[in-house]
Amino acid sequence: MMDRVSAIEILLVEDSQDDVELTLRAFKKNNLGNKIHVARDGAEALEFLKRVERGDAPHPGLILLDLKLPKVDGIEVLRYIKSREVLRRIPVVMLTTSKNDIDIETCYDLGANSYIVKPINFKDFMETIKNIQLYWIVTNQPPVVE
Amino acid sequence: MNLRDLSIGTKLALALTVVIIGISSAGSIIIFNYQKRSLDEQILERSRTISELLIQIEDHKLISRVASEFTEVTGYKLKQTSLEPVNPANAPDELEKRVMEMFKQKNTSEYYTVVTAEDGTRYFRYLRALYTNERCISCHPDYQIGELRGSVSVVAPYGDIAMAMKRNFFYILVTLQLLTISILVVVYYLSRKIVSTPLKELIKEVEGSAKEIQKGEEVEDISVKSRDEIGMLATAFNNLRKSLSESFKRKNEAIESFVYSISHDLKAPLRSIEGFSTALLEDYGDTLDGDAKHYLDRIISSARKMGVLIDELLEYSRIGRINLVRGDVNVAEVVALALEDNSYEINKKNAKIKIAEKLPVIKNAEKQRIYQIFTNLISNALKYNDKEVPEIEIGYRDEGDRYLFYVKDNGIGFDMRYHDKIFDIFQRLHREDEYEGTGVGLAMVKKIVETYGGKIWAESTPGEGSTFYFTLPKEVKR
Repeated sequence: MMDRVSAIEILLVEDSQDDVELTLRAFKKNNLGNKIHVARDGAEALEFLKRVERGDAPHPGLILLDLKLPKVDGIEVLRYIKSREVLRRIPVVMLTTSKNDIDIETCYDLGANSYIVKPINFKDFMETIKNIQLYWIVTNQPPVVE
Repeated sequence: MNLRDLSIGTKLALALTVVIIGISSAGSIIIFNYQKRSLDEQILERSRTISELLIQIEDHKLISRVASEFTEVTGYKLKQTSLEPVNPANAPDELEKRVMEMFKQKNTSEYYTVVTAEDGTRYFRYLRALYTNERCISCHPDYQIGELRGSVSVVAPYGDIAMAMKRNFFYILVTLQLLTISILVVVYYLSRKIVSTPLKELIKEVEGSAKEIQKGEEVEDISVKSRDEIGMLATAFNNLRKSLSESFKRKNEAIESFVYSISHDLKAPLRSIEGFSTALLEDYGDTLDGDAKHYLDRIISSARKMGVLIDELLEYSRIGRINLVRGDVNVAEVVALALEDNSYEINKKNAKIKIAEKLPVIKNAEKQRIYQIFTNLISNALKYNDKEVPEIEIGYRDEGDRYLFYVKDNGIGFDMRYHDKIFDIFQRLHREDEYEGTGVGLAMVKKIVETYGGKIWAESTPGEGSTFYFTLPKEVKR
């Protein structure tokens, strides 16, 4: 079972260097051994996803997506993922500071699988990352990659 | 002194004085002229009649006699005159000569004027041309019919009548001036009653509410007593105050939402500071020496403290801006909750708590806010207390449409000089290592109480204790 879990690769789309590092550390702390690809803006994320479609990059089992991103907005990235045959089944967890109702509705309408508001306290933030990891990697059954 | 600075009553009185004096002067002159003209016409008519009568008398001697008799009775002098007098008594004077020359040349047969003699007496002079007729020819066959023979001249006294008229004119003037003065008195009195006094009352009210606004108190509308301009002024003032307070409110809200977003933005880097310090301590704690670890602890605790401060600031900015669930709030329940949350300190300090029986219910209030009031005051009462047995008393009094609550302690108290300061945000009377705290608590309590339309104050004797009083309406508006 651990093999299935550790085989899942994750795409983290996050523009804040601090948040990237804190997230990576939290993942590492829980010691599940997943490989994490980081995209620092929307364009980088799209580029990675296109490589996945071409088979040049590994197929991620989970995408953590920030909303407010430089160059290409998180919403656009989400729209792209959910409109592509190869990508649309990948669970997408929105991880953002926005509590805006319109943002939340738009994301779910576009097919986001979860919407999480980034806790502002360090402790809560660590706790949240741990919960995401436990639920989406361990508990949740991902779709089979063909 | 500037005319603009005079009171409205005086201005009105002045304006009316000018108008009335103008009208009365014009009126007097018109009346005077009318009277004078009718007087002139009277004399003229009389002179004509006399002249007509005189012409009818044919005997010259008789004419002279009638004329002198007439003068004695009426004061009217009558005389016949000629350019070539047979009788020297009939010689013309200057005026008569001139007029007769005029009669000769022009086709007029009558002339009158008012003349002033050298001694200043005025006379009405009337001259009527005499032409040769058939009867004249019978005595003077060398005359020709229609030839100017001379004239009848009437000299009538004029001065006396003019004097009488002047007297009349004077009476008219005096009457008009008396009328003016009485109108002025009435106008001045009325202007005071219907303009000055209500305006002064309005000014007093406006100044009163200006003072209240300055003190930051809730201001009621100024009473609108009439629908006239003064009433409109009062309404306009009320509208001005309302729109000012609304714009102030909007600005305040903008500032608070700015504080909110700033506080929110400050927390993100704070999370990184705390996060990486924690990571450093956890991941590399083994390789760090005691001092390094201690410094990291200080960084983490400072970051946490700043986090608390920002949280409190966020909470402070939410009061009155964010509406929480409203309903009947049972104060007894809220106080019990606040005591429970302070139970650690209560037990640690072995404090004695005395609560009034049957604390009231506040209608349409936010439970969370009422709780914040009590928990902050209780926590302060415990914190600033170095007695062996700290005592806290919580009670209230019914004051009609509001309740007066108090939280009394036997703590260290404070100097009443700092009374206003202790309610200001971030204001502290003690060093942080003496008594922990951020300086937001009392400011928050004050803000909640004031948002609910209440007041808060405190009484204290250093070393003996403090009592915090605050009022809350029985039913919160809005």
